[in-house]
Amino acid sequence: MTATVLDTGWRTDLLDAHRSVIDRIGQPGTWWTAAERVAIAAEHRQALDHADLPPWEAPSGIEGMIAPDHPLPPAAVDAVWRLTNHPGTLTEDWYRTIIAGFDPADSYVELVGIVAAMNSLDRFAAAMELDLIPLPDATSGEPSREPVDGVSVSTHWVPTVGGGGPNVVDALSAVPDALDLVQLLSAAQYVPPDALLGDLSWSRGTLDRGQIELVAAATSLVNECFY
Amino acid sequence: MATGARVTDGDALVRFVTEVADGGEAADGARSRLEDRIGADATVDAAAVLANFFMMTRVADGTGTPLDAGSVAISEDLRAGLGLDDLASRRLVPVTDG
Repeated sequence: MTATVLDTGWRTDLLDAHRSVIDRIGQPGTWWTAAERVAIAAEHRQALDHADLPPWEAPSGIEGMIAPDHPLPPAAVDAVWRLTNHPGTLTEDWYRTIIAGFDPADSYVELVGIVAAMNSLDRFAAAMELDLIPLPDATSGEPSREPVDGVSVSTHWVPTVGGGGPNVVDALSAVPDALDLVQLLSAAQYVPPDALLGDLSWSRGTLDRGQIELVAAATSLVNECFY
Repeated sequence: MATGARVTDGDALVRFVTEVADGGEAADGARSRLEDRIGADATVDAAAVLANFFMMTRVADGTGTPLDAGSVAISEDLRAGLGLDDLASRRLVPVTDG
């Protein structure tokens, strides 16, 4: 019998982070309802099962690939698939085209956060030969629809706050809920924020910092990520 | 990088990342091979770091995140050595004079 990560006895901060992310995806976000957030997560898994679809083919361009009653707009489905399987091929031209299907643009930022977090959970399960954590039931309620003051398009394609930290942290700053998901996982899976630059010898007692950074660099390379 | 960049068990860690990323038959047994080399708890943590950077690459490339200004110059040799300047996502580097 196989199991999910939540059935293991591994360190509790890791299990708590994975459980919390799944639970939060089942709740209303800033721009998407809970049902839509769960649909984004489900579409991510659908895309993972069809990783052989080349980047130049979008689900919306293939007859029958998106059901007429699909809860997400076609642009959202296309974005989920491209982010899931071919993030290293994304270009500013692609973004300019796809963002026309999002209203507001900040809803795309929330989608990126959900796809990225789900990819992390599901890649971990695959690496450790575990079952995927079941998707949650969507709770009721409405998205908060509260924009963040002071966001603008400046350094990134997407609107950001521009807080002065690393650019990749600023990337999701227009949707704090999405940023929270990523930071929650990063603290448990990579390095706690205070040790990131403040303690270059930090370790959980298993991998040393050099080993951690080697895995990080190798993973970025196989994803063809320049950043 | 395949040789492990002079990091302890680096070759095994890089092989694990490559096998998991390739998926399919390549991934079969990747976990147990790494466990045999570095132990079960360290393998959990290696998989966690891997998972984290599958996430961060999607955040960076999905949002058009540019390389941090302070990293452009100091990463020049590294980028050239690893062929990173040939990646499609290199377009994210801000244009600078000179």
